[in-house]
Amino acid sequence: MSSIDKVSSIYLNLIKNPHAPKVYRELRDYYLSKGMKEEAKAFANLLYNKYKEISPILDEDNNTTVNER
Amino acid sequence: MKITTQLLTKDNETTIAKTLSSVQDLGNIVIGDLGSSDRTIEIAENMGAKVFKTIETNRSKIRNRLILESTDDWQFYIEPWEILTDKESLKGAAQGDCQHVLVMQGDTFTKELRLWKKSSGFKFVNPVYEHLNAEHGPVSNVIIYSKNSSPIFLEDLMRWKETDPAAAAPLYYQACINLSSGNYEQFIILANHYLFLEQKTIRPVLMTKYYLSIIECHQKKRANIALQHALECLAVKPLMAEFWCALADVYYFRIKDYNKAQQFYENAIELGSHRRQDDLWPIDISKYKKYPEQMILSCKKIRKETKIILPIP
Repeated sequence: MSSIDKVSSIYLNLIKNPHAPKVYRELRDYYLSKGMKEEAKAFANLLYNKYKEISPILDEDNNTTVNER
Repeated sequence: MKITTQLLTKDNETTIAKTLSSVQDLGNIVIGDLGSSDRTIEIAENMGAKVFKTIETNRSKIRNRLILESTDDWQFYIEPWEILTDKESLKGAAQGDCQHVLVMQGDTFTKELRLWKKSSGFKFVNPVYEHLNAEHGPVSNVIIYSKNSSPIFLEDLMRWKETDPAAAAPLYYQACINLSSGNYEQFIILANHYLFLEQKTIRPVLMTKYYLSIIECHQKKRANIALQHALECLAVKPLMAEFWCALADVYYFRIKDYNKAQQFYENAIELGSHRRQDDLWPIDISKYKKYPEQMILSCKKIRKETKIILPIP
């Protein structure tokens, strides 16, 4: 699947079910795979704030914890 | 340290004095006047500006000539309807090779490269809607306040199209003119033509898709097309609250799914808060908190009212 197809399919899943943590995990992982770390962290923070789900990327730099936001 | 300020003028007598007051004492002021028939030149010269009258129509050529005329290394440009809010912050920002400043109009900020070193070799490009040929650069905290939107250079734009018919950029500016004038049909035609010609995913392309999403949602009421454009924007820039609000608006105003709309407005606030302040994209401050918060309240109210109306089984 090409990159455009991949991200398109994730966003199509997002609009079908915007409340499912799975789609935000996929977005986090997709942007991380593209080297877009800020974007990946943003989705990781969303997963934590909304679903209390911790992502490894949030532990990467010690200064960034969800509690600081 | 001296900073030369350059401006291009044409019949700006009502605003030029305030603009020049805001940049006085920074250094020299050089003006390229494109044929003022009012008191612009008189006011500018009385305030110490050096004015060059020109019949040249290519604005980049005039600006690049003004750079050559300047003896100071630091250059700054401002439009004759803008005001520099703080001279000291501009002086403090003069570091490195160049600096972007924040140009504020209402709730919207754009980040534009306005301060640069002559020795860096940056030049202006485009015969109209000109800008410096630097793709990146730091963003300072210098703020320029723009009371009015820029004038419409339609004649210059048409001339650009004629001399370079393969160029996509003139279509973008022409589309923007139609958008700001409320000519939405023409905007849609030009915007789609621009997107057809410009294949690279550059900032004007995404901003065109964003505006198309807004117009298709609110003016043309075509949810599917609006949705497509909003999603394409989000795929590239998921931390732009503006794009999440555009998506949410489709669900609120067209599809009437207030549950999903609320989630997307919440995403605008959550994800928008992670947007880097040093990116060069425009920013509509209201879309980061005020607007989505209002819309979330509205979604909650409508959903509550809908539950009350539903008959008890």
